[in-house]
Amino acid sequence: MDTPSPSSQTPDDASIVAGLRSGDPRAFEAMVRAHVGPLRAVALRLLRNEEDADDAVQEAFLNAYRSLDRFRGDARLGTWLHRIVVNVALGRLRKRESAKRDGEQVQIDAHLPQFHENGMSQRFHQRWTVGADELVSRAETREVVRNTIDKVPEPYRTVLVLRDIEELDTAETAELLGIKPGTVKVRLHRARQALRNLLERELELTGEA
Amino acid sequence: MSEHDHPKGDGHPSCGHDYGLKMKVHGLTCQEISQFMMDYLDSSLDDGAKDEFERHVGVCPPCLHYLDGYKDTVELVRRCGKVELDAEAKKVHGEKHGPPPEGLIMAILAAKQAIDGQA
Ligand SMILES: [Zn+2]
Repeated sequence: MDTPSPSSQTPDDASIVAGLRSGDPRAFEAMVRAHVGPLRAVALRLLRNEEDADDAVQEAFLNAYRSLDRFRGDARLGTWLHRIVVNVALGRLRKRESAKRDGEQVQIDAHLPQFHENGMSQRFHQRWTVGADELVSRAETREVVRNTIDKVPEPYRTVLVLRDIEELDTAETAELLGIKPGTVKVRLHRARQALRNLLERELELTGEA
Repeated sequence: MSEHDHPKGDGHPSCGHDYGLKMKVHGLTCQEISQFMMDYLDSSLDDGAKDEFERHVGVCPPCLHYLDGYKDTVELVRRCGKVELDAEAKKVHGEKHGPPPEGLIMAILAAKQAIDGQA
Protein backbone atom coordinates (compact mmCIF):
# COMPACT_ATOMS: atom_id res chain seq x y z
CA MET A 1 0.00 0.00 0.00
CA ASP A 2 2.66 2.42 -1.03
CA THR A 3 1.74 6.05 -0.96
CA PRO A 4 3.34 7.93 -3.82
CA SER A 5 5.84 10.39 -2.43
CA PRO A 6 4.91 14.04 -2.76
CA SER A 7 6.52 15.74 -5.70
CA SER A 8 6.97 19.19 -4.15
CA GLN A 9 9.76 20.03 -1.71
CA THR A 10 7.68 19.11 1.33
CA PRO A 11 9.37 18.03 4.55
CA ASP A 12 9.70 14.29 4.96
CA ASP A 13 7.41 12.28 7.21
CA ALA A 14 9.91 12.08 10.07
CA SER A 15 10.20 15.86 10.36
CA ILE A 16 6.42 16.26 9.96
CA VAL A 17 5.81 13.87 12.85
CA ALA A 18 8.47 15.54 14.97
CA GLY A 19 6.92 18.94 14.21
CA LEU A 20 3.40 17.75 15.05
CA ARG A 21 4.59 16.33 18.36
CA SER A 22 6.35 19.55 19.30
CA GLY A 23 3.21 21.54 18.44
CA ASP A 24 4.56 23.28 15.34
CA PRO A 25 1.43 24.43 13.46
CA ARG A 26 3.26 24.31 10.10
CA ALA A 27 3.74 20.57 10.50
CA PHE A 28 0.01 19.89 10.25
CA GLU A 29 -0.26 21.83 7.02
CA ALA A 30 2.80 20.01 5.69
CA MET A 31 1.18 16.68 6.51
CA VAL A 32 -2.06 17.67 4.80
CA ARG A 33 -0.30 18.90 1.66
CA ALA A 34 1.93 15.83 1.44
CA HIS A 35 -0.85 13.27 1.87
CA VAL A 36 -4.14 14.86 0.80
CA GLY A 37 -3.85 13.64 -2.80
CA PRO A 38 -3.50 9.90 -2.15
CA LEU A 39 -6.03 10.05 0.70
CA ARG A 40 -8.59 11.77 -1.49
CA ALA A 41 -8.08 9.13 -4.19
CA VAL A 42 -8.79 6.38 -1.66
CA ALA A 43 -11.89 8.16 -0.34
CA LEU A 44 -13.16 8.76 -3.89
CA ARG A 45 -12.68 5.10 -4.73
CA LEU A 46 -14.72 4.00 -1.76
CA LEU A 47 -17.39 6.71 -1.72
CA ARG A 48 -17.61 7.56 -5.46
CA ASN A 49 -18.75 11.08 -4.64
CA GLU A 50 -16.50 14.14 -4.35
CA GLU A 51 -18.39 15.84 -1.57
CA ASP A 52 -18.47 12.73 0.62
CA ALA A 53 -14.83 12.01 -0.20
CA ASP A 54 -13.72 15.51 0.81
CA ASP A 55 -15.67 15.25 4.07
CA ALA A 56 -14.03 11.91 4.77
CA VAL A 57 -10.55 13.26 4.04
CA GLN A 58 -11.10 16.20 6.37
CA GLU A 59 -12.38 13.91 9.12
CA ALA A 60 -9.42 11.58 8.60
CA PHE A 61 -6.84 14.34 9.02
CA LEU A 62 -8.58 15.62 12.14
CA ASN A 63 -8.76 12.07 13.56
CA ALA A 64 -5.07 11.67 12.85
CA TYR A 65 -4.31 14.98 14.54
CA ARG A 66 -6.27 14.02 17.63
CA SER A 67 -4.75 10.57 17.90
CA LEU A 68 -1.19 11.44 17.04
CA ASP A 69 0.04 9.83 20.26
CA ARG A 70 -1.19 6.51 18.87
CA PHE A 71 1.06 6.78 15.82
CA ARG A 72 3.99 4.43 16.21
CA GLY A 73 7.27 5.95 15.14
CA ASP A 74 8.26 2.86 13.19
CA ALA A 75 5.16 2.90 10.96
CA ARG A 76 4.98 4.97 7.81
CA LEU A 77 2.87 8.10 8.11
CA GLY A 78 1.24 7.44 4.73
CA THR A 79 0.27 3.91 5.74
CA TRP A 80 -1.18 5.12 9.04
CA LEU A 81 -3.19 7.89 7.32
CA HIS A 82 -4.36 5.42 4.66
CA ARG A 83 -5.80 3.18 7.33
CA ILE A 84 -7.54 6.12 9.02
CA VAL A 85 -9.18 7.40 5.82
CA VAL A 86 -10.30 3.89 4.87
CA ASN A 87 -11.92 3.60 8.29
CA VAL A 88 -13.69 6.94 8.01
CA ALA A 89 -14.85 6.25 4.45
CA LEU A 90 -16.16 2.80 5.42
CA GLY A 91 -18.14 4.32 8.29
CA ARG A 92 -19.77 6.77 5.89
CA LEU A 93 -20.35 4.06 3.31
CA ARG A 94 -22.04 1.85 5.89
CA LYS A 95 -24.45 4.61 6.84
CA ARG A 96 -25.19 5.39 3.23
CA GLU A 97 -25.58 1.80 2.08
CA SER A 98 -27.49 0.34 5.03
CA ALA A 99 -30.70 1.91 3.77
CA LYS A 100 -30.55 0.05 0.48
CA ARG A 101 -29.11 -3.26 1.59
CA ASP A 102 -32.19 -5.17 0.44
CA GLY A 103 -32.15 -6.50 -3.07
CA GLU A 104 -28.39 -6.52 -3.39
CA GLN A 105 -28.23 -10.28 -3.35
CA VAL A 106 -30.42 -10.32 -6.42
CA GLN A 107 -28.13 -7.83 -8.10
CA ILE A 108 -24.91 -9.77 -7.56
CA ASP A 109 -26.53 -13.08 -8.49
CA ALA A 110 -27.28 -11.72 -11.93
CA HIS A 111 -23.52 -11.40 -12.52
CA LEU A 112 -22.43 -14.74 -11.06
CA PRO A 113 -22.01 -17.89 -13.12
CA GLN A 114 -25.11 -20.04 -13.08
CA PHE A 115 -25.07 -23.83 -12.96
CA HIS A 116 -27.44 -26.67 -13.60
CA GLU A 117 -28.29 -29.01 -10.75
CA ASN A 118 -25.66 -31.42 -12.01
CA GLY A 119 -22.97 -28.77 -11.51
CA MET A 120 -22.60 -27.99 -15.18
CA SER A 121 -22.29 -24.40 -16.32
CA GLN A 122 -25.28 -22.83 -18.02
CA ARG A 123 -22.95 -20.88 -20.25
CA PHE A 124 -20.11 -22.05 -22.43
CA HIS A 125 -17.39 -19.62 -21.40
CA GLN A 126 -15.28 -18.38 -24.28
CA ARG A 127 -11.66 -17.38 -24.44
CA TRP A 128 -11.15 -13.61 -24.28
CA THR A 129 -10.02 -12.25 -27.61
CA VAL A 130 -7.72 -9.59 -26.08
CA GLY A 131 -5.04 -10.18 -23.47
CA ALA A 132 -4.62 -8.27 -20.22
CA ASP A 133 -1.39 -6.55 -21.35
CA GLU A 134 -3.05 -5.14 -24.43
CA LEU A 135 -6.12 -4.04 -22.46
CA VAL A 136 -3.99 -2.29 -19.84
CA SER A 137 -2.05 -0.46 -22.56
CA ARG A 138 -5.17 1.43 -23.68
CA ALA A 139 -6.15 4.50 -21.62
CA GLU A 140 -9.73 4.10 -22.74
CA THR A 141 -9.86 0.53 -21.43
CA ARG A 142 -8.32 1.48 -18.11
CA GLU A 143 -11.12 4.01 -17.71
CA VAL A 144 -13.72 1.36 -18.59
CA VAL A 145 -12.21 -0.98 -15.97
CA ARG A 146 -12.51 1.68 -13.25
CA ASN A 147 -16.07 2.55 -14.25
CA THR A 148 -17.00 -1.13 -14.32
CA ILE A 149 -15.58 -1.72 -10.84
CA ASP A 150 -18.06 0.92 -9.69
CA LYS A 151 -20.89 -1.22 -11.07
CA VAL A 152 -20.14 -4.20 -8.85
CA PRO A 153 -22.94 -4.22 -6.25
CA GLU A 154 -22.27 -3.54 -2.58
CA PRO A 155 -21.09 -4.94 -0.24
CA TYR A 156 -18.93 -6.84 -2.72
CA ARG A 157 -17.42 -3.79 -4.41
CA THR A 158 -15.98 -2.45 -1.16
CA VAL A 159 -14.16 -5.72 -0.46
CA LEU A 160 -12.76 -5.75 -4.00
CA VAL A 161 -11.47 -2.20 -3.60
CA LEU A 162 -9.89 -2.90 -0.21
CA ARG A 163 -8.29 -6.21 -1.22
CA ASP A 164 -7.32 -5.78 -4.86
CA ILE A 165 -6.72 -2.01 -5.11
CA GLU A 166 -5.87 -0.78 -1.61
CA GLU A 167 -3.97 -4.05 -1.10
CA LEU A 168 -5.15 -4.73 2.44
CA ASP A 169 -4.93 -8.40 3.43
CA THR A 170 -7.91 -10.57 4.35
CA ALA A 171 -7.44 -10.13 8.10
CA GLU A 172 -7.16 -6.32 7.92
CA THR A 173 -10.18 -6.10 5.64
CA ALA A 174 -12.22 -8.32 7.96
CA GLU A 175 -11.28 -6.19 10.96
CA LEU A 176 -12.11 -2.89 9.25
CA LEU A 177 -15.47 -4.16 8.04
CA GLY A 178 -16.30 -6.03 11.25
CA ILE A 179 -16.89 -9.29 9.37
CA LYS A 180 -15.26 -12.73 9.42
CA PRO A 181 -12.24 -13.44 7.20
CA GLY A 182 -14.28 -16.18 5.50
CA THR A 183 -16.91 -13.61 4.57
CA VAL A 184 -14.21 -11.36 3.11
CA LYS A 185 -13.11 -14.26 0.89
CA VAL A 186 -16.64 -15.05 -0.26
CA ARG A 187 -17.33 -11.40 -1.06
CA LEU A 188 -14.03 -10.94 -2.88
CA HIS A 189 -14.59 -14.03 -5.00
CA ARG A 190 -18.13 -12.96 -5.89
CA ALA A 191 -16.96 -9.42 -6.67
CA ARG A 192 -14.28 -10.74 -9.01
CA GLN A 193 -16.74 -13.10 -10.69
CA ALA A 194 -19.26 -10.30 -11.16
CA LEU A 195 -16.56 -8.02 -12.51
CA ARG A 196 -15.31 -10.72 -14.86
CA ASN A 197 -18.81 -10.99 -16.27
CA LEU A 198 -19.30 -7.21 -16.48
CA LEU A 199 -15.93 -6.61 -18.14
CA GLU A 200 -16.50 -9.36 -20.66
CA ARG A 201 -19.67 -7.56 -21.71
CA GLU A 202 -18.44 -3.95 -21.48
CA LEU A 203 -15.26 -4.65 -23.42
CA GLU A 204 -16.85 -7.22 -25.76
CA LEU A 205 -14.09 -9.67 -24.94
CA THR A 206 -15.57 -12.76 -26.52
CA GLY A 207 -16.21 -11.19 -29.88
CA GLU A 208 -19.96 -11.58 -29.31
CA ALA A 209 -21.56 -8.18 -29.06
CA MET B 1 -15.83 -25.13 2.44
CA SER B 2 -18.99 -23.56 3.81
CA GLU B 3 -17.27 -20.19 3.38
CA HIS B 4 -17.96 -20.60 -0.26
CA ASP B 5 -21.67 -20.90 0.11
CA HIS B 6 -22.05 -20.31 -3.53
CA PRO B 7 -25.39 -19.37 -4.96
CA LYS B 8 -27.10 -22.56 -5.87
CA GLY B 9 -27.37 -22.66 -9.60
CA ASP B 10 -30.99 -23.38 -8.93
CA GLY B 11 -30.83 -25.25 -12.14
CA HIS B 12 -33.36 -23.55 -14.42
CA PRO B 13 -33.56 -26.43 -16.84
CA SER B 14 -35.74 -24.36 -19.14
CA CYS B 15 -33.04 -21.82 -19.99
CA GLY B 16 -30.09 -24.18 -19.72
CA HIS B 17 -28.25 -25.67 -22.63
CA ASP B 18 -26.53 -28.99 -22.78
CA TYR B 19 -23.14 -28.54 -24.33
CA GLY B 20 -22.54 -32.24 -24.22
CA LEU B 21 -19.90 -32.05 -21.50
CA LYS B 22 -19.77 -34.72 -18.92
CA MET B 23 -21.25 -33.40 -15.73
CA LYS B 24 -18.26 -34.50 -13.74
CA VAL B 25 -14.83 -34.38 -15.24
CA HIS B 26 -12.33 -36.10 -12.97
CA GLY B 27 -14.30 -35.73 -9.78
CA LEU B 28 -14.99 -31.99 -9.70
CA THR B 29 -17.99 -30.34 -11.31
CA CYS B 30 -17.70 -27.07 -13.22
CA GLN B 31 -19.55 -25.44 -10.31
CA GLU B 32 -16.92 -26.71 -7.89
CA ILE B 33 -14.17 -25.40 -10.16
CA SER B 34 -15.86 -22.00 -10.00
CA GLN B 35 -16.14 -22.25 -6.21
CA PHE B 36 -12.53 -23.28 -5.62
CA MET B 37 -11.00 -20.88 -8.15
CA MET B 38 -9.85 -18.24 -5.68
CA ASP B 39 -8.40 -20.84 -3.32
CA TYR B 40 -6.61 -22.43 -6.25
CA LEU B 41 -5.09 -19.10 -7.28
CA ASP B 42 -4.15 -18.38 -3.64
CA SER B 43 -2.43 -21.79 -3.53
CA SER B 44 -4.60 -22.72 -0.57
CA LEU B 45 -6.03 -25.95 -1.99
CA ASP B 46 -4.48 -29.14 -0.66
CA ASP B 47 -2.45 -31.20 -3.11
CA GLY B 48 -5.25 -33.62 -3.92
CA ALA B 49 -7.77 -30.89 -4.66
CA LYS B 50 -5.19 -28.94 -6.63
CA ASP B 51 -4.51 -31.98 -8.83
CA GLU B 52 -8.24 -32.53 -9.36
CA PHE B 53 -8.68 -28.86 -10.20
CA GLU B 54 -5.89 -28.89 -12.77
CA ARG B 55 -7.06 -32.13 -14.32
CA HIS B 56 -10.58 -30.75 -14.76
CA VAL B 57 -9.40 -27.46 -16.23
CA GLY B 58 -7.07 -29.36 -18.55
CA VAL B 59 -9.96 -31.14 -20.23
CA CYS B 60 -12.80 -28.60 -19.84
CA PRO B 61 -12.37 -25.56 -22.13
CA PRO B 62 -15.22 -23.49 -20.58
CA CYS B 63 -13.62 -23.79 -17.15
CA LEU B 64 -10.18 -23.00 -18.57
CA HIS B 65 -11.56 -19.90 -20.29
CA TYR B 66 -13.42 -18.89 -17.15
CA LEU B 67 -10.23 -19.27 -15.10
CA ASP B 68 -8.17 -17.25 -17.59
CA GLY B 69 -10.75 -14.45 -17.64
CA TYR B 70 -10.87 -14.46 -13.85
CA LYS B 71 -7.10 -14.12 -13.65
CA ASP B 72 -7.15 -11.32 -16.23
CA THR B 73 -9.89 -9.57 -14.26
CA VAL B 74 -7.77 -9.58 -11.08
CA GLU B 75 -4.81 -8.29 -13.07
CA LEU B 76 -6.87 -5.53 -14.69
CA VAL B 77 -8.12 -4.34 -11.30
CA ARG B 78 -4.60 -4.28 -9.90
CA ARG B 79 -3.14 -2.45 -12.89
CA CYS B 80 -5.98 -0.03 -13.72
CA GLY B 81 -7.73 0.55 -10.38
CA LYS B 82 -5.73 3.52 -9.18
CA VAL B 83 -6.60 6.53 -11.28
CA GLU B 84 -3.95 8.62 -9.49
CA LEU B 85 -1.26 6.39 -10.98
CA ASP B 86 -2.70 6.76 -14.44
CA ALA B 87 -1.01 9.69 -16.15
CA GLU B 88 -3.11 9.47 -19.30
CA ALA B 89 -6.36 9.40 -17.37
CA LYS B 90 -5.27 12.56 -15.59
CA LYS B 91 -4.90 14.29 -18.94
CA VAL B 92 -8.32 13.19 -20.13
CA HIS B 93 -10.16 13.66 -16.85
CA GLY B 94 -7.99 16.27 -15.23
CA GLU B 95 -11.00 18.09 -13.84
CA LYS B 96 -12.49 15.04 -12.20
CA HIS B 97 -9.40 13.58 -10.59
CA GLY B 98 -6.87 16.38 -10.74
CA PRO B 99 -4.87 17.74 -7.84
CA PRO B 100 -6.87 18.11 -4.63
CA PRO B 101 -8.67 21.43 -4.49
CA GLU B 102 -6.94 24.11 -2.47
CA GLY B 103 -10.35 24.76 -0.92
CA LEU B 104 -10.26 21.32 0.69
CA ILE B 105 -6.83 21.94 2.17
CA MET B 106 -7.99 25.31 3.52
CA ALA B 107 -11.13 23.74 5.01
CA ILE B 108 -9.02 21.09 6.76
CA LEU B 109 -6.64 23.70 8.17
CA ALA B 110 -9.56 25.80 9.40
CA ALA B 111 -11.21 22.81 11.05
CA LYS B 112 -7.96 21.99 12.80
CA GLN B 113 -7.68 25.56 14.10
CA ALA B 114 -11.18 25.26 15.46
CA ILE B 115 -10.09 22.14 17.38
CA ASP B 116 -7.03 23.96 18.70
CA GLY B 117 -9.26 26.83 19.81
CA GLN B 118 -11.46 24.46 21.83
CA ALA B 119 -8.50 22.91 23.62
ZN1 LIG C 1 -15.65 -27.51 -16.26
